[in-house]
Formats: sequence, C-alpha cells, structure tokens
Amino acid sequence: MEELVMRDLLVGLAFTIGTFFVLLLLYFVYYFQDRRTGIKADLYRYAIIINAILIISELISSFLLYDKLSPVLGEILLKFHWYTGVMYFYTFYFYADAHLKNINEVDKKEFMFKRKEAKIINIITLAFTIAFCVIQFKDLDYHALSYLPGWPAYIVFTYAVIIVMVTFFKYIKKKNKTKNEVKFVLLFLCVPTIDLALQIVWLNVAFSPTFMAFLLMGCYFLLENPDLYVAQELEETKKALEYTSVHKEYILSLKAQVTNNKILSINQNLYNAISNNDRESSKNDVNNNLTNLVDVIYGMQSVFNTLTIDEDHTKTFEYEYNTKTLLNKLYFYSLNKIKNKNIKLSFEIDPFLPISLYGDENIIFQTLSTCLSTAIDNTNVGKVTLKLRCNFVNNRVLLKFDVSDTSNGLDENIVNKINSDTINDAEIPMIENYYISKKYLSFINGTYVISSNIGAGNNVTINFEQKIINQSKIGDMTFDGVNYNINIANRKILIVDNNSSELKYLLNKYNNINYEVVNNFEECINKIKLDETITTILLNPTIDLTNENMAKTLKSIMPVHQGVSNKVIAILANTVSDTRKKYIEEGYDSFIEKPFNEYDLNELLNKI
Amino acid sequence: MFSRLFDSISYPLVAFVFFIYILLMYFSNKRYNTYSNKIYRVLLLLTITTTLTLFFDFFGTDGVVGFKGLEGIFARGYILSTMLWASTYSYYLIATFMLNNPTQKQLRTIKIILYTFNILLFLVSCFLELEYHHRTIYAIGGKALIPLYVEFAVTGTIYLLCPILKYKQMNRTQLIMHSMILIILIIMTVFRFFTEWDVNYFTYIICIIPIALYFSSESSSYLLGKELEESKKDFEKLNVEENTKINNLSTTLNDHLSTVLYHQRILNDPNISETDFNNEKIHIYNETKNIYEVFKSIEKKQILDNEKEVRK
Repeated sequence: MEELVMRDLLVGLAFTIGTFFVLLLLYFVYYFQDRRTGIKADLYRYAIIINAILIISELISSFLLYDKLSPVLGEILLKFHWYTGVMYFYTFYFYADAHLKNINEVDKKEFMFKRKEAKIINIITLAFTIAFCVIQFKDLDYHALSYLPGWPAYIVFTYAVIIVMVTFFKYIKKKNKTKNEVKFVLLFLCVPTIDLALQIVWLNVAFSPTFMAFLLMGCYFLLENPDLYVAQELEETKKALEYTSVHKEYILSLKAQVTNNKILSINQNLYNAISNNDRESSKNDVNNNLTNLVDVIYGMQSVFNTLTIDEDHTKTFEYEYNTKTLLNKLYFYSLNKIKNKNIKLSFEIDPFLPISLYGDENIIFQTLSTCLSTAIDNTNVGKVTLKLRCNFVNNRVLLKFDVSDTSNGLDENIVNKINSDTINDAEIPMIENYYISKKYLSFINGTYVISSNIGAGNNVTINFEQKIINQSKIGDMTFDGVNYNINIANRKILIVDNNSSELKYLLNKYNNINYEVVNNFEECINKIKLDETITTILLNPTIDLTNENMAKTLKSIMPVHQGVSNKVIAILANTVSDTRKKYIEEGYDSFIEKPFNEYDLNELLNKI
Repeated sequence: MFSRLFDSISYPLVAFVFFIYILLMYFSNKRYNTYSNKIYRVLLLLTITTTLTLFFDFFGTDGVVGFKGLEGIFARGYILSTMLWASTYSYYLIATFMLNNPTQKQLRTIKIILYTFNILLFLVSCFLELEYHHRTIYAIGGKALIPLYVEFAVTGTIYLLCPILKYKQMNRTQLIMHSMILIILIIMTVFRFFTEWDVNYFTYIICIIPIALYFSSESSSYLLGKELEESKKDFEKLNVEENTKINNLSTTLNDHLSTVLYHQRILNDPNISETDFNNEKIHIYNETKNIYEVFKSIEKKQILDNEKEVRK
C-alpha cells in the first residue's frame, strides 16, 4: 500500500518535477545572460523566483504530507505554496501592465503602489489575502491526493481569473496593439484557462506549476529573450554603418558641391585681381577674395569635425584653455570678416568669467565662429553683438552666449526647422550653418535656440557648461593685439616641417625669438644632439607617418635644463578634435594648427 | 489501466510539451546554416520521432488502442529512432565542442563512422529477442535493447569527455547546461533505483537535451550576437577609414591655406618690391587653384561612388 501511495505521489507530481528540471535550465540561462534593466525585467525576475518557490513548496509539502510524515509543517507549507499563486498573478498583473503601457524606466514604488489603479489592485489583493488566511484547508486526505484542496485553492483561482480578465480588458481598450502584445495576452488568457480546466478534470495530478512555468517561458520567448534585443542592436549597428557610409559621404559631397562654385568664383576674381595693374586696388581685391576663401575653408573644416565626432561624443577632446585667448580669437576673426561692411562689432563679456576653463575649445570656437560668421553674412548694416553671461554651480560655470544681429530676420518656418530636434538630410543645405552650430553644441551637451523678428534681426542663444580650472576673473575685457615682446632669446625653437614658410614669417615678427628649421626627423635628432639650447620642438607629425613615437623619442634624448621643461609641440594641419586627442596621447605636450592663428601662437610662445 | 500508462509517459509528456515550445520558437526565429545548426535540426526531428514512437509504442503494446501486429514494428522503430538520436547527438558534440573549426572532410568522416556504427548495432539488435510486457510499465524489454545501451554508453562517454578535454571551447552557459543535464540524469537514476520509480526518464532526457542546447548554443541570439560583433567590427573599420579620409582632406586643405596666407602676408608688406608683389599674386592664385582641385576630388569621388551604387 505504501509503495503504491509513493508511486501515486510521484505520478501526481510528475508534471511538477518534470517542469522543475526544465525551469532550472531557464533559470540558469536567464541569470547567466546579459539581462535588461528596468521595471519589466525586474518584475519578470520576481515572477521567476515566485514560480521556483511555488514548485519547491509544492514538492516539499506533498512529501511532508505523504503518509503523515509531518502534517503540521506540511499544511503550513501547502498554504504558503497556494499563496505563491496569488503573488505570481499579482506580479504578473504589473508585468503585463508595464508592457501594455510600454513603461520601463519608472520608480517601482510609484508604479506598484501610488497610482490609482495600482491602489485598487493592492486593495483587491489584500482582501483576497485576508480571505485566504482566514479560510483553512478542510480535512486533507493524505492517501487520496488532490491538487485542488478546498476553498483556499478556489480563492487563488478566483484571484487569478480577476487578474487575467482585468488585463484582458485593458488590452482590448488599448489602441495600436503590437504583434507581440497580441501573442502575450492570448498566452496570458489561454494558459491559466487550460490549467484550470485540466486541474478540475484530473484532481490528482498537479498541473498548475507546469502551466505557470509555461507562461513564464512564453514571456521569455516573446518579451525577455535576448534574441529580440540583439536583433534590435544589430539593426541599429547596421543603420550606423549606413550612416557612416552614406550620410557622411552625402553631407561631404553636398558641401563640396556648394563650396566648389564659391571657390571657382573666388579663383575667377583672383585671376582678375592679379591682372589688375593698379597695385593698391589689386591688393584689396586679393585680400577680399582670400577672406572669402578662408571662410569657405573654415566652413568645410566645420563639416569635417561634425562628421568625425561620433554620436557617442567619444571623439571630443577636452583640455584646459584660456578664455581671454578664445575671445580674442573670436573678436579678431569677426573683425576680419566684417572688413568693409558697415557693421559695428560689439562683445559684452561678463567680468566674472573665469580666466581658465576645461573643455573642448576647438568645438566652442567653431560653434561661436560659425554663429558670428552667419550673423555677419546676414547683416548688411547695423550691429552684431556677442553677449556672455555666467552662472556658477559649484566648480562649474554655465556659459550663456547671445549672438544677435540686425539682419532682415528669418522666415518662421526656417526658425522652427532650426529649433526642431529632427532635421533630415534634405533640409540641411537650407540651414547648413545653423545645423553645424547646433550639431557641434550637442557634442558638448549644449543647447541652441534661435529667435527671429522679421526686419529686426536674429538672436541665437547658446548655453553650455564648463569646468573651472582657475577661479581668477577675466575682469573688463579688452581686445588687444598680439604682444611681440616675448623674450626667450637664450633658448631655441626647432621647427621640423617641410612647409614652414607661414610659421617662419610669423616668428620673424618677434624680436627675441631664436628658431631653426629642419626638414625631417633624422636631421632633427642630429640637431638636438649638437645644440643644447633647443628646449622646444615644433614638429609636424605627418613628416614621418611610420613613426608614432617621435614625441617620446625626442623627449628621451633632449638634454635636461634647469628650470625649463622641454616641450614637443605638434604642428597640426587639421581641425578635427580627434586628431588633437590622438597626438596628445602619443606624448606631445601641446599643439598648434595650420593655418596659424597669431593669438594661438602668441599663447604658445608665452607658455614655453 | 490508463492511469498506469500515464505513470510511465507523464515525464516524457511534460518534457515533450516544453520541447514543442522550443521547436516553435526555433522555427519562428531567424536560423543560420552553420554545421552545428544543421545537425541540431536533425536532432530536433529525431526527438519528435523518438517521443512519438514511444507514445505509439505504449498505446500499441498496452492494448489501450491496440495496434495488433504492428507492435514489433513500433518497438523496433523506437529502438532505431533512439539509436539515431544518440548518434546524432554524439556527432553534434564532436563537431561543435571537440573539433576546432572542422573541415567538411572531417565532418563527413565522423558522420560516416558514427552512423555506420549505429546501423551495425541496430542490425545486431534486429537479430536479438524483443520482449513485450503487456499491461506493465515497461513495454519493451529483452536482449534487443543491449545494442541501444551500448550506443548510449558511447554517447555518454563523448558527453563526459567534452567538458573534460575541451572545456575551453565551451562558453559559460554551455558548461552550465552540460552540467545541468548530467545532474538531472544522476538525480533521476538515483531516484529510479531507490524508489523503484516506474517512469521512462530516458525519453524525458532525450527531450530535455535539445531544450538545453537551444538555450546554450542554438538560440539565434548566439549567432545574431556573432553577426552583431562582425557588424560592429565593420562599422569600426569603416568609421576609421572615413575619419582618416576626412583628416587627410582637412590636412591638405589647411596646408594649402597656410601657404596662401603666408603669401598674403608678404603681399601686404608695404616694403615689397613690384616684382615680388606680382610673384606673390601668382603664388596665391596657383595655391587657390590647388584648393579648388581638392574640392573637385571630393565631388568626383562621390560621383564615382554613386555610379558604383547604381551598377550594384
């Protein structure tokens, strides 16, 4: 008799034991894979844990109740087992709710306890819990196994039916159902229904844990399976691939096409200018055309930089920079651009601006210069103003720039397009300069808003944060020319570049600077060995593309001087932030760019 | 009577339900044509055949439905199907875990050896006596099952050797799944001997193994993951190429501009002679022409790329 009962017990629990092993596989695979975060994943995880407790408690309670091994403990555990059913459906209600509402990043407490409908479900659950606790299992027959043992079991089933029905009605009310939601709700409706039907027909076989596990596995395949997310990520990577190959080429060629016509016209004008026999007028024509040429090339460089900085901004390059030099550069850049136009340039700088900040100066300069350049281009008569105000938060400063002009203003549609977050490729040529500035700012988490009044002008507001390095204030800003009286005659600068004419020309303007020029790296090494006064090397890294350790090699062989540190500075011929970063990582102390800006060179010479 | 029948097939039945689930998921998602995936598909097919033959076998021999005269065919069919399953699983284990990127020739050789061994064992089994235990739990018995046990002993040995010899070729999930199968097998065997547990757990394991394989190796996420890795590498490569191209363009343009500005500075020097002045103007004009050439090259490249795209 005993043997038969044991066998009956094992048969009665066959589905539970069989399911337990299958679920073990699911648990392990789920916990050893990269899981998502958020409320959906959390609730699924809770449901898995509850299902595991549901199965284990059923197995243990059945064995404890078998032949009255430990009836009291067995009954407590059986009660607990049935209560896990309530917990399972309670968790599943919120899991289904989160999916139907497509909510993931939300506060768990808020979602499960503070919303109106969550409160209703919590009250219903509480009522069922009280009823479940009060009503006891009646006369458990240990020899006649039944897996639907009296009223507490019916209470759990009633609760399950309520949860399923509420979810189903919520689903019906929902608009725009996805394919997976249809599958999920069908599963959520069918699985408990079949379970209930089978359980009523075969009382001595435990079906519920199997069906609950079946539901969990269904959710795994429909909603939690990493396949779904890997496939999504794959799709995104493929899109990024397409962006890199198609979008970048498209923007580049678009810019090249527009620029080609401008350069062709500049070329034509230059030809006319050199044919002009009047020296003064010829010189003016050449200068005017070259200003336009610089503008065109700066515009192209901005596009280059925009295209090389990735969406994740990893290619931005932050370093300490002098705010006075940056503003000076911007001022003289704008002044040079205004030339003969009847425009007044005004820079109103907050005297509390710190002297030294930390950030991607290149991006800031290019953003502001593009804004100023556009304002000057749009304005024929009147004023272009740059206002800078500072707000301080701990060791950071929020810089608020306003660039305003007195142009004719922009059409409302254009303004809306510029301020819009989504700009498609076809619209870019229409608002190119604004697009570039805005894109630049996004790399440093800045904001860009334009407002316009027809007939009165435009105003661009730019905000971004920077880290403060030196708290000293800039004071009343004056825009001075370059100071040529730097005295470093006791030391020598070595220039290693095969196209150094511009740099030589600029250095010749200084009275007390010694420099020498060599054309290749080998000559440079020989020179250092012979001349101990060389403390600074301005080296073009592209002079030997095969050698990435030029800076480190030079530093290792340069003689040590007391009180003066040796410096190897890279002469770069591109404005791409990523290139700057690369050379600093290769061991260069700093960099200077072609075409040389007198203010940058001045600041560099001041530092060496 | 039906209850006693249920005793025996309840475990294979529950595993089969979950197996069908996996089967549906496997065929509704993206599949790949790798050798392991192809073998896995055969394994899935043989799992269905084995389980269904088992069910038919029970119904036939137990007289519930009664397939009089067909009992022998079903019983031998079950033995053949199970043996083929074991060979295919051995083939999967060797090809996936024991060989490092196997060649087609290697795979063919292993396949021939395993299936020839299988057929020989089955032929031996055909000449051995088969017993039917009507109205008892064990429907099939007798010496005809000995070759089947030999076949499973071989598969079991390969199964145990995989993590011992080639654990580096198995990832963490595969190792866990491999161990889990072993643990389930041990638990069920121990339970079987200590409690005279009258169930067909052999077929249960046969259904569980493809589920474990799906979770650890054959789910498309593993292969999608590899495809994703490759796409990321392609993206990184293309990104570097594009950025290098842009950097070079930027360098060329600024180099030319630097030269233009140098000549402009000399041109603006009030002390410059008339001849030098004219020379500087020509230098500036020539450098500007070079800049124009750079822009033209960008446009030309795009036109060529577009043509390539159209041809594709």
